[in-house]
Amino acid sequence: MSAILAPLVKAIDFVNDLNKEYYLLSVEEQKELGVGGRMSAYNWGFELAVIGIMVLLFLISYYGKTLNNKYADKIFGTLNTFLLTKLSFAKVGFSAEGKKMPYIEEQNNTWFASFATGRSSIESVIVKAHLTARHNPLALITQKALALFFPSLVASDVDEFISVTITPNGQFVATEEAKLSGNPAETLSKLKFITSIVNKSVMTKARDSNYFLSLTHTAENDSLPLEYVYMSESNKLNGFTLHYAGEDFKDLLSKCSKFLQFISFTDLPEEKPITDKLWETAQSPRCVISLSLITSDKDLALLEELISRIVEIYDTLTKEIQTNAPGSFITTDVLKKAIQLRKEELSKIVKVMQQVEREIALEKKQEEERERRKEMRNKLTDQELDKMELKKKEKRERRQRNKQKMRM
Amino acid sequence: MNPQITNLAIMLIMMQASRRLDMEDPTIIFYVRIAYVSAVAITWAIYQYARAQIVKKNDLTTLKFVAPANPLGGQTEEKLEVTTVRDYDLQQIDSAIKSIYTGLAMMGFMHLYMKYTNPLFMQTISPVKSALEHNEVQIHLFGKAAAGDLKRPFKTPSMFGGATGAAEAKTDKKSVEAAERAGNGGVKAE
Repeated sequence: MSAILAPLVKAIDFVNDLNKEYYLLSVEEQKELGVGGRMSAYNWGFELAVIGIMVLLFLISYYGKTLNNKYADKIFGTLNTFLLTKLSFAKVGFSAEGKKMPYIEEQNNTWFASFATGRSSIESVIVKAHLTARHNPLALITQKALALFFPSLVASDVDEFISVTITPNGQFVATEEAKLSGNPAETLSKLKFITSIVNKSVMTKARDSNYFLSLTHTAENDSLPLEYVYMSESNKLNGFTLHYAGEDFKDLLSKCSKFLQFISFTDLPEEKPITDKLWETAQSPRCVISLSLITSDKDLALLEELISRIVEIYDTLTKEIQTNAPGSFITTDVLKKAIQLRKEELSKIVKVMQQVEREIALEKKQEEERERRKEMRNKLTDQELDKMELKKKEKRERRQRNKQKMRM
Repeated sequence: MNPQITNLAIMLIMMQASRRLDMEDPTIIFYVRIAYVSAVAITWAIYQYARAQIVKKNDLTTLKFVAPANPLGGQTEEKLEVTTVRDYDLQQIDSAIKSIYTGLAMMGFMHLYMKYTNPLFMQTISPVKSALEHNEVQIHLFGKAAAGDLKRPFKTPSMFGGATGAAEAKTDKKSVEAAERAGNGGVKAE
């Protein structure tokens, strides 16, 4: 151990030796030197080095935060303008104290989010971005080094990503003056299924971090570019996206293969629900577009195109459901299977809940029994206690004898 | 012959050889260092070549299997792995390359700091041998077909060959389909 700590001891000795002569001065000699003399006699090398490191860390931190903000300005500035002008959303971004904000940021400029609402067929578009903590390079290096040797110890959301969640509202209107549909809930009930196009490079990771994807079957298909697979709860749903987006959507997918992780139409949550109440509340039909961090104009233009195509899918689908158009891709058979899968999943959750409840009840009962026995023993006299101990001893011996008989 | 057995045999031979060498002699230390660095460089070059071949081939065929539980790696239950041949091969080769760096760090500490030369001498043959026996090198350097023992996912090698009861990855349709629909994703750590 001393051999391992030797370099540290050497470093401490070096720092102490910087002022060896100064420390040898007696108090009287130091007094004689005066303040100026003491200042010049003292070697400030170590202190200056520490201040230098602190200034360097401050500059790195400032640069990291500025860089993250620069990326966020670019991403959200481009997407907000697109949502407002090209896709005709009524409200984009946030406003607080009379000031407009294109996005909100949290946790030292590492998490960013923006929001758009007010459009036919679409309730909202939520754009989230996670950027690494560039303001803290030391933590980043430690994290990377730790991930190299102990990957399970590192949190899964340390990577940089952008996610776009498009939530439909079940209301399609052709013009601004058109009347709203009578029953949007019924329209939305027909959007309760899971079908996804997932990039092959993130298949396991995507399934691990998204509950809805972990319920799907993975299938390769010639109708998709080589870099992607389908992950749908039923094979019949595999063709959903290309049916509504058109064959040329394949070209767009190919162009996005460097950064696009998955596009998923789902109603189930990302996080696995552990109670039936959570199961009920967490269900919401939506489309999730997940991608790695992009900042170039070209990539952002491709993302805009992707968002635009998904919004078009919801427009067409909502209109189709509302007008009961013939030849819809979402058939009753597909929906029946989806309902069945949800019933099975809910029953699994309920089963686990009941098991946990039973275990808790059993533990409680055992605790009460222990308390009851303890109280009973406290009430007994010494003679009665001896008698009880004797009975217990006899019982143990009888059991022992029976066991021996059985063995023989 | 099983690689583990030959490794053991090489280790015993090297131990005997090292006893006949004067590890205090600067000339011998110099040559041992050259031998070790050369072995590491050759090993690294073999793995990097295999890696370059994997990237070049870019085989995006989907590979599905149920990996056994690995309590030491923080994985207490069986887990479905859905990957591509390219990513699986890269994962295997990267883990082998990582083991070179770990070995280098260990040897650096033992030799440069603790002043032991014996471990350096012992590690002059086995890394190259392991690299040449590595499944990925067999496939991508020697051009062997990915069938039999080289079929992905690779079997975990056992000490004395044959079945030792060690858990293997499941590739049968039933196990894979059950794992696919298990709904084990999205479990957030508390």
